[in-house]
Amino acid sequence: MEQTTPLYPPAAPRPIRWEALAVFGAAALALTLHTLASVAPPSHWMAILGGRAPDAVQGLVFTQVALPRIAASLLAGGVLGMAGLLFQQALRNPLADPATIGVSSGAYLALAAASLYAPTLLEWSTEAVALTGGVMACALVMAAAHRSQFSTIHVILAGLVVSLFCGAAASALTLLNHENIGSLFVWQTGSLAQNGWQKVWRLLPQCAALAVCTGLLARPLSMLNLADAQAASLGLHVSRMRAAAIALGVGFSAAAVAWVGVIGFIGLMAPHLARLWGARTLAQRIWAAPLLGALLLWSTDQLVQNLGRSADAIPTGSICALLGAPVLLWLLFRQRSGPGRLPTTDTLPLPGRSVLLQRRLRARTVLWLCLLACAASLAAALGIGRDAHGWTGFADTGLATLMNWRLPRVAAAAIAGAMLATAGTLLQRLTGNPLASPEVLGVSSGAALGVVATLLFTSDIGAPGMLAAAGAGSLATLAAVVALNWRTDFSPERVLLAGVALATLFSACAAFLLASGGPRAAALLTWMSGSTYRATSAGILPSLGILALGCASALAARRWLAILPLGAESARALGVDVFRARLYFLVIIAVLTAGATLLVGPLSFVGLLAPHIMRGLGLRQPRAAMAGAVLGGATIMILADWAGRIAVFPWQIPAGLAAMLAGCPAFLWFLWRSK
Amino acid sequence: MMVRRRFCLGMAGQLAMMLAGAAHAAPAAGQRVACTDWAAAETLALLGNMPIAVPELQVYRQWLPDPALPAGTVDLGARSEPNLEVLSALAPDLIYISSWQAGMLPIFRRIAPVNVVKLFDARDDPYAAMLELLLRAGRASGRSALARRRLAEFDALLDQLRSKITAAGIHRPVYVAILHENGAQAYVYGRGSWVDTIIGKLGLRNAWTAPSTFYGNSLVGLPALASEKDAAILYLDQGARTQRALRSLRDSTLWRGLPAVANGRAVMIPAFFALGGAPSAARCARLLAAAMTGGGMAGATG
Repeated sequence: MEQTTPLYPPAAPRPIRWEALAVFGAAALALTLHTLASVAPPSHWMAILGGRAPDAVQGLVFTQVALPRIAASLLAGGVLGMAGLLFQQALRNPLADPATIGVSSGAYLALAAASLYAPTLLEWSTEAVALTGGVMACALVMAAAHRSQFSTIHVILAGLVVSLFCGAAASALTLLNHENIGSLFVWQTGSLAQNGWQKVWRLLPQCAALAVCTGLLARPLSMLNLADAQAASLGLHVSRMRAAAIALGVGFSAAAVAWVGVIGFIGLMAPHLARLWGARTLAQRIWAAPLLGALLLWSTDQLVQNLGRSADAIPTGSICALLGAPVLLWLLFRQRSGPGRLPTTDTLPLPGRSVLLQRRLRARTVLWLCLLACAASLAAALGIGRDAHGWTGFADTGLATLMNWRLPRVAAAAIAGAMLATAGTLLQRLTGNPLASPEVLGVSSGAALGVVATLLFTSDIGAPGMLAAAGAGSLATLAAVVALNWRTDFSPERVLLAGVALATLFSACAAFLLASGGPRAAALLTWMSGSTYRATSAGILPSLGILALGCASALAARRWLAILPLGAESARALGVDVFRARLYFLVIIAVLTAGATLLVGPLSFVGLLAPHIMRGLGLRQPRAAMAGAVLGGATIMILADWAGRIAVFPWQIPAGLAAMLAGCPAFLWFLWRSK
Repeated sequence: MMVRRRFCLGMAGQLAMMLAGAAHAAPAAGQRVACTDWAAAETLALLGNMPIAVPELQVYRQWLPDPALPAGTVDLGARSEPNLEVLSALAPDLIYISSWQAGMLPIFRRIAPVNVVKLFDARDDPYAAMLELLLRAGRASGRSALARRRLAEFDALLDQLRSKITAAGIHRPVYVAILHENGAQAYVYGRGSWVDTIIGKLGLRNAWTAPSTFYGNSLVGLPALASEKDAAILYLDQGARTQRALRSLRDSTLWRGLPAVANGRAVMIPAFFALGGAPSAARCARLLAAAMTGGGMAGATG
């Protein structure tokens, strides 16, 4: 913790800018008056408030919908701002907020699961269910980041993975409970629509209690600005204080999720706005952050309501995410000293002990074993299946079934796995960071975003349309990544964090589309979850070609691959044009990732897992590592696809989802091991 | 040994399936048809040509109970991804798929000829499309005469229900809705759904006239259900989901203040499948008529 970057770049003291607040508030007020005027003409307002509404319905809408919604947005915004401040202060992490550290999605998953399997729990207390989920997610993230002493990037990556895992688990629940699809997404896209004052009155005392606790902790909390040793020497029990602050933050976040659903970015932006506004000490920020959070959510929500007649269908949470993702990017890139040191496990490029094996095997032996495993999984996936009567083997499976239905799926899964594993190997060597994966680069998110955007505006695109949309999406993302990183030599940290922002933006858009419901949303959901369902035998050869091309061009530059993990300075000293080398591999990675995304969707974690396992098995040289990753990635995806086909027959769990449900915990484990 | 035993079992199973298929096909005297589209499945069932396989069988039986599918019907798994191995093993003569599955058309074509069911299209008249589906299914299964008879029966049913409602002196506009479980919103059926057409055919007026989405419904805030003060609100009972919504609405001052609720004209009706075919439409008409003539609805000027 001692070496981490200061929470904020030291700023020259400046006075609090009240006039900025006044302008902001006036804008929100003007929007609000406009909204209210569309409910009832201003001349009626006094009568309505006095209980003498000339029109009963108008009065009802005014007093029971419009006014409580204003109160709700103010209260929820304040709660989120406070939660963000607590997380940022406790973790000394400028990027922490309820969404980025996984608390919101944990609470959401708990609510979704409870609404399916234990509805009585929700009747008893929605907040308690959300709190349980939030606490569990937060505990996971903190456990994974604990050994790194809560470094910024550890916490953010762990939070992203926990969010993705909760999303995947909720998707699996949704796929198997198709009829509840719309309702499961109630909490995912925060909506501030109100039906009276009762919820405001219910939340108010909870928040007041939490706020009082926070106020009592304000003094010791401010000491967390100091280095741990310094704070301890002043008599502060640092870890206990940190835990208390995080617990309060989780309490605030859970209350907000249970009430209005997942609303991202308010908690992230409010403390930063408070800082920009001139609040420097914690004593100032502890009231400024909630205040600005309230203002922010209030004005956003009023903006949403003024968007037009269909505004009811646009959840405020989605808009917040759309507005917030660029802000997250901006925050990332304005940090002068970078987002902290990247986590490094047992130093990457050096040939050394193998983690998974007691005795180091020769690379050739390991590769033969990988090949054997791949062949075995292939045989199992092709041969063993289920039909209406039970289990079937090779003998009682018709050749037509094998060739027409199983082979294309198995091939697609294998090729996609190999592509992602290759991309992952390249990315990890490129960044010198064992936690990098193509999913984190954002290109798979970009490809998926292309498809989602297309589906938003058209009703029915065929396979070629899907292909074009995904290709355009991944290319655009690649261009964005290149543009954003042009001046920093593709510094690994920035590439990774830009990917995080893109992934967040993507999940917001996807959640919005899924909340609109209908069978189309279900089809999109299965594709996004990484289904090999639509694979055809005609598609095998082209994708195999892309894979071969990618591997060949990567191997052609394997000298760079061996040198780049040593770091930019060493590489330059050895005569490598770092910028060009990075760009070269980035293009290969993007092409491979886009190809794989089309086959199995954006959310498998094979690109992370396979290279890691290969390193664990002791494969370090570029050529051996790539060969091993190809075999390992193929094996994992074949097994995931197979498990997905037979586990809940005749239903099918998409291969990407199955791989992810296994991959996320593995990622957290790697994260936990790294220092 | 194991392999041989499994092989024998498999053969026996396939033989049994062939026999069952033959036995099934004989009385129906029609094709063996698989449906990944529910509207087609229930339309064919109405014509006595029972589909041999539908997706999500359990939910189907719950939502489209009439006419009931026979006990031997095969479950195809999810509607978004019907199990192709199961489907091809059944070797149907014809497959009906939904228009939103058209992207998978080449895949289904490899198993059997395919009919695409398109209830929702640019024409925006799913009611006509739903009746066309009835006639088309009749032609495809060689039962055109029966299909025309069923169509006549459907029209007669609507006429009969309409005269019953008129006789009771009910002209009230009506909202047909599904309560959202956030307790603040509802899906309302409007133009572009056959529910809207049926409301008209019953001699009533749909109180929701604003444009709606592709599937003919809109997600609106509850106050939208107050814009017609004399209207009735009929909301579908979708089991646990509706119970959760009602629980949230119990304390809602807004809900209790809606004119329809305050005057006891908000009625829960059994669920129907609004993307379905003629049987679902008939069920919808019967449910709406029963709710409107059930008392408390008379005495408004529509």
